[in-house]
Amino acid sequence: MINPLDKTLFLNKYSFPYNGFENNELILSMLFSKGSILLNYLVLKQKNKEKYMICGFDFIRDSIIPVEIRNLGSVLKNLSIFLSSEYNTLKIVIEPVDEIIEYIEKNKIKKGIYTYKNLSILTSTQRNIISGSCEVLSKGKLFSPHKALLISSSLGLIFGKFDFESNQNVIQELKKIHLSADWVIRYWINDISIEYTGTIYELKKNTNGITIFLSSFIHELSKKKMDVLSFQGSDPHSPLQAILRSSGILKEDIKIEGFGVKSGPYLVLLPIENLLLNTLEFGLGDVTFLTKNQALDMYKGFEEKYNHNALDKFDTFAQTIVESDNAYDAFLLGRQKIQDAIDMIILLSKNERVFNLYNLGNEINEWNRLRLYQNPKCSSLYYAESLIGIENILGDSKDTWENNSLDVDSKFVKVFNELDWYEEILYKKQTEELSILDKQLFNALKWLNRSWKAEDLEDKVIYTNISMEFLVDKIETDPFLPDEIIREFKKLLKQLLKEQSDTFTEEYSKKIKEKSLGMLKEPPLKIKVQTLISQLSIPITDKDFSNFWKVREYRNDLVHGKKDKLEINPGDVLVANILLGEFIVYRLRSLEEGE
Amino acid sequence: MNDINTLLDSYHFGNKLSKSAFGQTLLLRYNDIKSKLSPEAWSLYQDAIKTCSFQHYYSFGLAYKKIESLCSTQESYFQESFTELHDCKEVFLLIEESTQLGRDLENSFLQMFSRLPSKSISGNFNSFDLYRAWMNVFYRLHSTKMIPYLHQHKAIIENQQRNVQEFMQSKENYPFSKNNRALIQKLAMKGKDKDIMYSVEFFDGLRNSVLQVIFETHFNRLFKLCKKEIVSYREKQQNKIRVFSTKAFGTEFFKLQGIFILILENNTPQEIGFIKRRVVKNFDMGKKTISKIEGLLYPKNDYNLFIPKIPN
Repeated sequence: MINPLDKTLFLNKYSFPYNGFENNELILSMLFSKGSILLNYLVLKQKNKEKYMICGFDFIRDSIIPVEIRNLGSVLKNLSIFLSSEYNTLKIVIEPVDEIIEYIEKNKIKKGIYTYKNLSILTSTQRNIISGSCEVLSKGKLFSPHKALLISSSLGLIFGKFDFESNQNVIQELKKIHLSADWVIRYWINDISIEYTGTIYELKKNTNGITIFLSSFIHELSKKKMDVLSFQGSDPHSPLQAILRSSGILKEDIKIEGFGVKSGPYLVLLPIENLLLNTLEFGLGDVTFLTKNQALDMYKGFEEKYNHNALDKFDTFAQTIVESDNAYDAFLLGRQKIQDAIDMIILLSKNERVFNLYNLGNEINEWNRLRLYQNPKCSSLYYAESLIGIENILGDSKDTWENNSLDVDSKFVKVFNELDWYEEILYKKQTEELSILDKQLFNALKWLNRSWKAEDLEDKVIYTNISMEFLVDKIETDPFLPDEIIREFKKLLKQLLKEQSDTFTEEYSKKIKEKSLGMLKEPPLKIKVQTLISQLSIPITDKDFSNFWKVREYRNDLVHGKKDKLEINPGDVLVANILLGEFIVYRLRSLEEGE
Repeated sequence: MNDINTLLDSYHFGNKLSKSAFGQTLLLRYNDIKSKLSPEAWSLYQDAIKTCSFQHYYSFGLAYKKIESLCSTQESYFQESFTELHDCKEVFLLIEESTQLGRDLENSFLQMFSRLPSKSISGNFNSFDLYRAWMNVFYRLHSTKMIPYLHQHKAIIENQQRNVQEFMQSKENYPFSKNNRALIQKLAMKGKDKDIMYSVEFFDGLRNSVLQVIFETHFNRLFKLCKKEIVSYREKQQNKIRVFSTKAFGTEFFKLQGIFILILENNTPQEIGFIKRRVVKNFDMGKKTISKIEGLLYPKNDYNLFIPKIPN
């Protein structure tokens, strides 16, 4: 048996002795499931020719089989839905599909090989089915789709379509699907289970039921603008890290077969905003600042890559050399160094007056009040060049998305209409009739949205945490310790301090009491959040909560400067922000209900 | 548009070194010696230093040793001058400090082939300005992509090819000298050998040149030539190597102390190269004496020099 979802399927050769189809490449594999039946179809393409063939595939026996004529309509319709969808990022075009769909609605076709324009279909009347079933897991919950289709290409899963019947039981279950969760699709074939993971993108309703669309997490990237990215080199690590990491995939999760990791020195060159060089030379630590002309003179590779649209507006650049195993990490390391240097420049530029105290000799420093408003910073563009290999990259670390306007359609408006309490709360805010508690919730919302909008990951973490603090500000919890325990502790402590008053002088005793008694009643933030969750019966699993809490841990590491190199998983921040938003909604709702 | 290359960055580093406190002290010490010695002894020492080509900061010590050995074998004409040198403690201080600097620079330079140089090139000077200039040399050296090229041919150089090894053992220090070129012609059996031997020659030449350029810049021995001020300047390309010749009135060229020449235009360094030959014509004609120098120019821009050019 061949795993119908495995990439090796695409490495095989497919040959069919008909009209040039002796040498084909597999471009799409479609796996249908309905009830206890599995059907697999392949879309083959002649090598170097725009000629396609659709056939069935028996993955148990590893052989090409015909498409059953009575299923042909369904196969083609689903293929057509995929081809015209945004998930067809490979831009595959098979024109005759829609025409054939129309044709077979009215006409019968004979078994054998049916050819229309550049598409041939291998058909038969014979049934050729494989027994098996499909189920879906999300956060431990099991769903049984009425029909399921997975389309994969050599890149892996690109399209998933799961149809559910529209009855109350199903709807109640589907309502629990979480935006932050991946779907695990499990196929049972002869007691063997095969699993696949996808990201949920859409839920759509139609007259027949509910359809959920999936794709791989990579699909998001197709919406990302990559205008600036330009790469030269033979090792795929650098461009892949640059593309994948900036969209939230962790370094440890990126492994490229056949290419080992090699470390070496990299030149990093960043455009700097709001910094003007009026001196021949300026450097700080191992960072050198350069004018545009100097940068172009000094770095020929950069000159070759120089992109006028992206870089013309910058007059100043900063350069440093770092050791790294790929250009993207080199950029991150270099940016850190350059940012550190800029931080020191800003500190001095705003506080030059202070440095009069440290002057050698009797000279006074010049200073200018307007420097208070001058804040140089690194732009999001970067150039990195390997000193050892032949590799350079020009990229933009800022996420920009194509067509990223929120689409307000009638369905979206309907959601607002249904939630009248939602509008009531807004109106209270607009007319300034908010209670202190309401105000805190709107503060929580303000900071949550700042976190969504922030480009810097550390900023996101801090904003999310500020939001969290506003959210639970007025939460009443059980006392952190029972009163009687606190009373007993106080008594013993006082006694001890008194008995040993030689050691614990009055001054020390006072300090000890302040520190040890002051906070005993104050519950930690975690308890407050957990209390909120249980008070409002917010459905959230322990795993969700631990993911959510990661962001608090990041904040603690950031605030206390615990780790020199803190790697923040953008996925955790994403989950935390989704959950935090939900908490805010729950709390707004509870206030409106007057609980 | 200004071109920049490894040797020009070495020149910039040398300039910074000569302006640093430590560099200035060393230079002062050297200049001081002139007043401590008789003109004969100074001139003898000078001549000896000139013979130590590509020995950079070691030249002061080597020159002394050369004179010493000359005087130890027989009753020499130079004995008196040597005694003067021998008794001058400033000479020994200069030798000691410059040898130490040479060693530190050489070590840090050799480190460049395997890792990023660290900031403390030498305990004697520890300025960030110098470090950044040194990092520029590091970048420039690597951006020639010479190291991956040599690495690729390492096996050939180290083991298999006798002729390459023979070349490395018998070549002269002076890069692209007549002798070395003749050796390559003689030893190369196929085109690839020639390429590799020339690369080795370039690598060795560059390795010696970086430190020599720094030294000559530091001690004002580098000859600076403004294109506008000379009688004639000619340049041509021979087998990927650029040669130049230039003429000037007077005998100025004869006073040259260094090997390297820096060609400037509007005060900006344009080219750097080394002198192979100097000729003086009509020596007795005073101001009308014409002197001529010839030499090789370092590639204007050495970025990706070792990457084969893909024809468009």
